[in-house]
Amino acid sequence: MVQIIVAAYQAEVRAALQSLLEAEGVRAASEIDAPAALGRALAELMEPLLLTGIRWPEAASFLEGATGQGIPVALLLEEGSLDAAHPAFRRGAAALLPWPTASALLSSALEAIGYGLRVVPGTVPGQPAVRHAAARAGLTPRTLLSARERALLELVAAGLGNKAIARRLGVSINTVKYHLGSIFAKLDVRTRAEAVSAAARGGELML
Amino acid sequence: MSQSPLSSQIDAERSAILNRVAGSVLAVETPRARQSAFFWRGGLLVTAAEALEGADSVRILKDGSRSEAELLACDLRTDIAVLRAAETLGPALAPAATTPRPGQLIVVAGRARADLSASFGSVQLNAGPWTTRRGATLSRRLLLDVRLAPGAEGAPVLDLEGGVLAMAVRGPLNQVIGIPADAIEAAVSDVAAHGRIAQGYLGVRVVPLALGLQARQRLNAGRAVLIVADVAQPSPAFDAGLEIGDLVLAVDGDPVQSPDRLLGRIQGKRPGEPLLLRRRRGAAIDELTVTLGCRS
Repeated sequence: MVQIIVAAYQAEVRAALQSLLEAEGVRAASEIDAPAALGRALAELMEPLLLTGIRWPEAASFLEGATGQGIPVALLLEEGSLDAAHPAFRRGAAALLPWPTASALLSSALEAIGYGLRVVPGTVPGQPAVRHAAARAGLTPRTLLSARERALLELVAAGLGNKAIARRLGVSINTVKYHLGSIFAKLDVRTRAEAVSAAARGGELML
Repeated sequence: MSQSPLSSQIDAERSAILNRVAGSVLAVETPRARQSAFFWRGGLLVTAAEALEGADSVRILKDGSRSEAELLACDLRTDIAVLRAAETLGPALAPAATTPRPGQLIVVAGRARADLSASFGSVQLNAGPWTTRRGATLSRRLLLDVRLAPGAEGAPVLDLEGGVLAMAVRGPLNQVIGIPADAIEAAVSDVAAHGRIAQGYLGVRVVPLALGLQARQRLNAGRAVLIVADVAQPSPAFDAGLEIGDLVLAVDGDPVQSPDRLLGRIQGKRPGEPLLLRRRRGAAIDELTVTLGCRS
């Protein structure tokens, strides 16, 4: 589950962002009023996402702070600040929406970010399009499996037995079994074939 | 006391076949099953995969002596598992010289613990290409008119020359199915060459995109299409020009709405076989043929 940090210097901007989330039944995990507070907020969160806005360049310092730590950022910018869209994207924003925006739109943008997609404003003002752009460095899709578990499952999908997987990864066969057990539990499956198929369904496996 | 020369001749021939193959057939024990296996090439044994899933090694029995065999490959799609015995305990069986024909006499030579079992019967049906329940395409659908002895799953199905026509496995509705010799040969030569059974590989990670009613009509698609979320480099998908953000609408002419269906399509083929994708990028729809690679 993604945990959202609401970030802005002004209290009224934070309140506006909060009410947008509340309209979708989402509670922010924390709220910060300065980039310096980011480190403390991150320490408590597993899968953070920063929501910030609405004026440029105020939002830029939050954006930089978060992308520097590999945290995806959703940026809402008011009409006059939308020219900053390009620099914002270059600095790694995962989603850019115009302010004001519909809460449902924000919610689907957050969903898209979870899949490692990027959301850019469309050509028509106020009509953002989910562009199916790259999951970029630092933006990992929302996944059940860890990178190590995915690597292991790729080898299962390749038809390797536990011994061969252990040899390939340079670990003991018990480590392989331990990871497999964890993969089975996370995916709620009982066999290797089911695990491969469940991971494919979740978009976690190279096909 | 008289015996007809013909029946004694038949009896002698039956014994001769079994004597010839007996040394190549072993019993296999796992915590879940007892079944049979046979030497196909060198120290490589073939047996049925179903009950071996997840095992690392199994016990093999021959002439009352037990040893361990490593499970090298376990392909549930074709139900073929390949084992390596620590030492070659018997001669390899050879594939039959002819293809099976309906009515052809066969013998399934299995081994339950130390004892050889034999079930005589005939080929019931030898139909064209067949896609198994788990999505593998076999060259033939081979049904056998025979009752398997206990522990005879995974045993060789032999013609009266002692050549292997297939491997016997139990199917639904008490059918006995023969996994054809060419599929066994393909699996074993993969394992001999690469240490495993080659799996087809496209090189994309896809996520489903649920479509609203309007989008369904506009794309002329079902409930969902697949978005390419990542393309491996190098990979067949990359070579064919698939890019992040492309929509995959159909595979080999059929709509695909979930990533595991695409996986099934890929797994149903072998490396080197083509896959036809209908792709939408922006407003343009085109078809591209990707030659599947091998997952490594």
